[in-house]
Amino acid sequence: MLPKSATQSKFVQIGNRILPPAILTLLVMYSLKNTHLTSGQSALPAILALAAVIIVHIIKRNALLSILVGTALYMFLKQIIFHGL
Amino acid sequence: MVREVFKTSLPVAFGYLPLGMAFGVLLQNLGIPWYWATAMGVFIFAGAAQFMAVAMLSAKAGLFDVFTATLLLNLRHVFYGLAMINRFKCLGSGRLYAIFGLTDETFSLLSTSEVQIGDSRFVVGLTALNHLWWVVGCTLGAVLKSNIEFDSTGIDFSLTCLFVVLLLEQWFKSRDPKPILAGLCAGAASLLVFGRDHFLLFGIAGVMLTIPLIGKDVKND
Repeated sequence: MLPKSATQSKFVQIGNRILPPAILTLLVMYSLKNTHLTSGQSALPAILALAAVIIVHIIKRNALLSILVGTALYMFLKQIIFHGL
Repeated sequence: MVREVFKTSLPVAFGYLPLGMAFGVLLQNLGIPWYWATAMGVFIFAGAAQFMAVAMLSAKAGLFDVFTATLLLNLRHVFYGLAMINRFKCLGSGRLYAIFGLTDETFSLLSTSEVQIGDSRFVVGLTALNHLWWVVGCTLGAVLKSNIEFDSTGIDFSLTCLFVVLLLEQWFKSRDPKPILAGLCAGAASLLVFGRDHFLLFGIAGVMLTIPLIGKDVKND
């Protein structure tokens, strides 16, 4: 569908290297900005849960485990510890 | 293969099911029959755009307004497509579906996963399974309405966790801080100038501008 020159151009090749991590950085910011740091609410649950995700993932390198730990911790903090804050 | 797709897709289920259900509940509260939630999940398959469509339709907005707003909201997919060209060009008949079904999450998973680039069953399978979670979520929400006992507050944090984990994986692969810095700078600039509504689109556009700057130092293989 696309000419070969388009898929092999330097711009696309460099873009393929740079875009995924850059876009993921933006998506992290976006998902935090949109749902978790809305005004008047404590940012602590998100900060603590993010720290947990990063630590667990660096130690275990198991994506599913990291995500489960982070989400469970966030829900626990949000619903029970920081309830109403 | 099926196991691999399921394992990769599972974190997305934790995000799409509750978000889809929230959408279904919203639609049902407006008195719209439940199968419209299913249909919108199948044919639109876009989180923010579906919520926006409901708001615009109930405000009796014109089709052109819905069209332009949706286009602006999801224009970032043009850039996702650019980064996916090499993965998608060998998909054959599944390509159109993979292009239609590409989401933030599917894009993130595909650009991080180690599976062979030529494996079209993985790409189409992952897209379809993520699509299925979303459709099931939309339908369940509309059918069950607010009769759900489980307090799911905060469960959508799973998608934030997914993005963080994938970003870490990208970091382990390249150990290159430049793309991450580019994302942070473009994101901060976009947020300041354009506000949160179009944060992602202009953030990604800003990152595109940095490609020629960063590209000089990136090895070409």
